[in-house]
Amino acid sequence: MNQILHIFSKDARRFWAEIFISLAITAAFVCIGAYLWLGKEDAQGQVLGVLAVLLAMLVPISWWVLITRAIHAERLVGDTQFWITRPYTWKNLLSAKLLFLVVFLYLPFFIAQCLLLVQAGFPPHLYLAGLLVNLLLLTGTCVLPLTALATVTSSFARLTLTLLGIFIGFIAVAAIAAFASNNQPAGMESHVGSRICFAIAALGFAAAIVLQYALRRVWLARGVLLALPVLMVATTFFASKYDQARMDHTYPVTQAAPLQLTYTPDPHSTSTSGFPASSRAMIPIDFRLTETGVGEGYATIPDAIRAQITAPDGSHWESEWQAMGWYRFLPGESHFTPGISMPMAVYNRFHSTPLKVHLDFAVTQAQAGRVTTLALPAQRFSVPEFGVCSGQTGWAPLWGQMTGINCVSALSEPPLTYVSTRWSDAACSALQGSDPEVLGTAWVGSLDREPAQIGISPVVESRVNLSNNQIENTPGGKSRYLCPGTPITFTQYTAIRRTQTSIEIQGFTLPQLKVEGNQITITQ
Amino acid sequence: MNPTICTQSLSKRFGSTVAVDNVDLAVPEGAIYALVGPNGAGKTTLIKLFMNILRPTAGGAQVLGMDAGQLTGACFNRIGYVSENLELPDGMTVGGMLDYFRGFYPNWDRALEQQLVRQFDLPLKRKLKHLSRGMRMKASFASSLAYRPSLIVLDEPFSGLDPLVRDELIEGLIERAPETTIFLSSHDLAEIESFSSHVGYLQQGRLLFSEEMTALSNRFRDVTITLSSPSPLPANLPAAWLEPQTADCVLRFVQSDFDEGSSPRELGRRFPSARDIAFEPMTLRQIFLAIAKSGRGAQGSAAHQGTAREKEA
Repeated sequence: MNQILHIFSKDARRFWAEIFISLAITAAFVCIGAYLWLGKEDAQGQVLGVLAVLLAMLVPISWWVLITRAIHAERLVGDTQFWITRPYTWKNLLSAKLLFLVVFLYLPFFIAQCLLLVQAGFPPHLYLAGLLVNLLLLTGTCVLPLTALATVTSSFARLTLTLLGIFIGFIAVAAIAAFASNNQPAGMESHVGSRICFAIAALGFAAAIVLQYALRRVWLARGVLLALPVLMVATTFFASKYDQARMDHTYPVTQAAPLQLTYTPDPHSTSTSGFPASSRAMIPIDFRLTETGVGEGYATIPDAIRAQITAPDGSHWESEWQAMGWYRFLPGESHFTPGISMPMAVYNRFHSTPLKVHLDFAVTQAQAGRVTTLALPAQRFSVPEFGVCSGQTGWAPLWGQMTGINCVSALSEPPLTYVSTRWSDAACSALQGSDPEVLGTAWVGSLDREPAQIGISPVVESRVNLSNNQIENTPGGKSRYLCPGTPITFTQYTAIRRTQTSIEIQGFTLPQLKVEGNQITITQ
Repeated sequence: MNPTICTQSLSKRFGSTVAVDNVDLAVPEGAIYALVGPNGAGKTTLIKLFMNILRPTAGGAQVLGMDAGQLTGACFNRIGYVSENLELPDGMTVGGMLDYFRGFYPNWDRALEQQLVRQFDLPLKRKLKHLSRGMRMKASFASSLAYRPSLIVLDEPFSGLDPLVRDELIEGLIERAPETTIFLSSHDLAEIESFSSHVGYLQQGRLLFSEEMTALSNRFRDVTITLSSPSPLPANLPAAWLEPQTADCVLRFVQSDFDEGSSPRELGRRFPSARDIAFEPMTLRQIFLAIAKSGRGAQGSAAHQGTAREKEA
């Protein structure tokens, strides 16, 4: 313990300037971090908002400097360092560096997060688990990678070059992936895969750090780090296959479907979309459907779609489960147009004949829970188990008028909530007793919430994009107003079951496709 | 008595380059052992191997009775290491560095530290990065001597230093000699000769010989034979005769297996017409130059004899 404190106090004295700057950045972020979510439209508010964004980026950069300086004070690469022939023990050295990070990185950051939560109106003691999860996520995605890279590099410059290399490599891989996945369907988000990837990355980085401290075998540690991306890509691939295979288990087929679907083609309505032509191009196929049958007090959310196509000659194609957009169905009838992506080769095989199409939908049925209705206050207001909201005021000539609401929640997005209120077409002062009449609704939040989502700021802004917010639905159209005192209702939903529902379409013809140069245009 | 440093078939390869080749070395306790050899001979690598800074490709080593591979942490309470390439904590002052190191050593001698600071005239408040090379080396010496280590390992400690600093360091070192074993590598032969008790010669990673300094000095002689008439270089000269050359009536060579009793008689028999046979003692520098200049076969012979004598001792 003495040796740990001895090394720690040496580092603290030696790197006082770096520590001071890091603490100053964190303190400044606490002071103006609230402008990240306050959404103030005045000039000062906007400047401070930009400054807050910059400070949010500077915080991890200051960590990068702090971590690198602390690790490189007793660097592990090379054979000419003073400390390797002194009575250091690797466990004490590693512990001293961890203590340094705890005292000068984690502790100030934790305090900063608590202060920011207080500023946003959330008592920190209610969110301790989320705060710790956020620290864990930042450890796995920021602190551990930086520390591991510092242990396998010999100087700040080399670490910076390494980071630059990783960044360029990442962009290159992303560009190649984007090129290769031309119009690919959105894969199902794999919680299992992302958790395993996180665990693999965290364990890999930690292993590289411990290996370096225990053995100082640079190439062994570098090998571990180089193997990580390969392992993570493989894990993602197999996890997505596993999730596909588990879909029928996660969403079992039951007798009572939470909604009924009918095919309602509209020959007069067409839409056109274009994308680059390539042999790997995926053709989007849309189906115009109508849903009914959602029970009172429930909402139904289609999460994924799968299509089975059969031609008159018996030839057959079945898609994988593909993620769906943001459809949320309440009681009543509504039209929607789900789509699947079909490989060009399959399209070419089936496009000339009427087809039998069987669509499976993986749906989540959610039940309404807490309902909070309040008269829209002019000031900030708190919605229990949702967050803190405030009116969004517009520029002149709407100055002082509420044109929307901003809500924030602590550490992660709020539970899935249906927000409804009424718009006024006229300025609120001119309303004179008559109630506003245009309905404005929005879905906010998620059914599958984590205790925390990773972030430098512990306050998560949830955009409440109320429908019908403009009188004319055109770009730059005139805004409607939310008047103080108008009732606004927040209805929270919780998932109660996951199941499948399906529909069969006879005589479906694939849309026409036109290839011009290297552009594909599709009309359906 | 157990040797302080002992290596068995110690080898180190870097790719296809053999830096240390099958080295068997024994440094007796209390010795001042000088490892010499040309640049690139593998001296620093050999030191790093038995200091557990590098891992051997083959073979093993023991230091102070411990396996060199296990040399970590508290083991270094008994070992002082100074190298010309050692990176010091440059951001610290000399005083700060001594304060810092003091915390690691239970047997740190504060009085000795102060004595060394005075002796080396160390500027305690100056940062290490602002010190001259000589001053840095002195600071390094002071921080490695103040805890009275049982073994002091010095890698090219005098390289590039002015004579005054060198003398100060040697003086400081000799004062510690009675209580410690000193192992140093150098190609500064003149300084080594004045205080070393043992010497080893490393060339191209191979230890050509390792023996006591007096034994080495005793077995090397610069031999000059004056013949009665001009004569070519005789054939089949012994391998232990290094750099043989003739000029008119004079034959010169370096004898690496000189024996005071038998060598004059043997040469007298071999050169019956010799008018004079002179044996001149050689300095360490002359010996190493002769070894370095001579062919590989002759060196092998020198090495062989050195090892043989050491075994006898």
